[in-house]
Amino acid sequence: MSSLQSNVDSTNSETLQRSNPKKRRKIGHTNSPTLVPWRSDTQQRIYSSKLADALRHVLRRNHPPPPVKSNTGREVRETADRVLAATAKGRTRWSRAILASPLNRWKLRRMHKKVHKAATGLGKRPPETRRRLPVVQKKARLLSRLVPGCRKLSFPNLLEEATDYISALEMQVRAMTALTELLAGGTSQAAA
Amino acid sequence: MLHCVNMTVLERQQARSRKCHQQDQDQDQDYQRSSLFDVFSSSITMDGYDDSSLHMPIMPPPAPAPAPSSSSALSRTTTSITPRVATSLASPTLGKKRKPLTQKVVAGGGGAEQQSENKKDKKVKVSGEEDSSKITEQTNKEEVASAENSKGSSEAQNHKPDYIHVRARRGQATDSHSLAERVRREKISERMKYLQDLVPGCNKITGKAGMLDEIINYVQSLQRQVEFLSMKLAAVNPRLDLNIDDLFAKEVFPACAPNFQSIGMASSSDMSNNPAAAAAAYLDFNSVQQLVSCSNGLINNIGMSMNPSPDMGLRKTIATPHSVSLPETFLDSSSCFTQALPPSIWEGEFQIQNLYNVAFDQPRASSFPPSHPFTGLVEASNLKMEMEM
Repeated sequence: MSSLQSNVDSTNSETLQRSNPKKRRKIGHTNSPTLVPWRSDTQQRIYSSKLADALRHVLRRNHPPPPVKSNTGREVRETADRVLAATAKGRTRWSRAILASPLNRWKLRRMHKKVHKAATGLGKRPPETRRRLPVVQKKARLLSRLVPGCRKLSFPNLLEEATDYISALEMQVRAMTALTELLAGGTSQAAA
Repeated sequence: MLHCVNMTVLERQQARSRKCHQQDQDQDQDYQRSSLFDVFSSSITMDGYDDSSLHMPIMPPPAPAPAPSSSSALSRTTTSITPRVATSLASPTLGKKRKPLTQKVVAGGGGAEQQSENKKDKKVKVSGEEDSSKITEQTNKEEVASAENSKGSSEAQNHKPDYIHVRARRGQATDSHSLAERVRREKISERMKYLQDLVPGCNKITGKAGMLDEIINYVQSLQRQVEFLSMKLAAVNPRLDLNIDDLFAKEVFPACAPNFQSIGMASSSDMSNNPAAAAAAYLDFNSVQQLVSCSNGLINNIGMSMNPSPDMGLRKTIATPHSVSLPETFLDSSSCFTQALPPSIWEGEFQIQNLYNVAFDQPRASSFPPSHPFTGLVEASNLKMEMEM
């Protein structure tokens, strides 16, 4: 119990040590001055509580665990993403995109990838003409595919969305790590 | 004398500038605008322009009508317009010079901030066709601001988006294209700097391509981490209902720990003299107090709009030796506290969900069962004891 407490404390203290004022000073963007300070402890708690609620709904649905289906992981992940987007209060493009598309993004993506691979095999381009896309632009496209909802965004805006998305993801990882540690510690404790 | 038929706009301006040089400085502002509109009208008509019309009245010819069309005409002619010698006329020129830039450099909100920044940082290097351009540059810094603002505001009315007014640095190209590009490049580099601070291990990497590689890798690794953690959470599934209650509260309790201990000490000293009736209240008080403080902590964190007065009232009553009044105070106070009292709520329900609820029940302090004495242990063991009742 005390070890768990110290774990939670350490994760929380890490977030505190991450110099909130520095982060807030940086987010003096002219375009998006009201971004969520993802590094703050408050945000993590807000997210954790919302996540706990949402997870409980999801897992209750799956509590008599369907033996064949192994979708729980994906569902958990999607609820986590949606809760994250909700915590973002929809100020950023990626959060709006996550909330707006209730369909499974990852399923569609896998299908898209398969289609793409089949298609590019047919295209006969000499390798030299393929290099017309400058390297930076190729990577920008990759990044835009990674950040949800940012496919047709200009480069500077894409970078801004990526900044917010990265900090939100970091907070999500921290919160979920703490949660799993608590739960895993709880199960071992209850079993013992 | 100048014959206007074959004159270019440039020559006309030079002639006008020489004439204006003789005029008063007081008329600068007005004359700027009037000459501005003169230029507008001249650029439109382009012929039959009499030199005597230079001495036209101060008030401009129909200003609103030609203004929209003149701005478009202006854009065509401004690139050829060189800055004038006279101080009075240099600012409109500079404003005009800036105009084709602003048409390209469209900013969202915050154009004003950028304006002030750019004005501070950069100086206009007027194109070198005029020798005295440096003089105008220096003397017009103040005037440019006012003229630019007036022009900018009038332009803003005509064109909807906000413009960033950029100035070229000394020694840099003043071409509108390069200025716009420079603004864009600076925006990008600024954002890359933020990202560099965010992504670990990017301090040594310079260059956009490498940085983008790192960023992409980092985002992918974060997303993979989230996926692993979600799998893990799903695996912990069966114990979720019970454990989330205890353990999430446990997560919150550490923050409330100091509150508990101090309150426990204070209340135990206060309560010791009181009769048994108060002893029950003591137990109630302690158990509810934990929940109160932790709920307060939660509420503060979650940002619920709870009025702090009940909280303050409760804290104050800790100090007072009046133990009997204590149950009443927290009964009277925010009904959020009363969520703790009905024991039925405790069974298997996550107390935070109750806090979310808007409708609060009436307090039932009498029905609250005497729980185990508060031992000062902070952990969820307290909660468990209450849950077991």
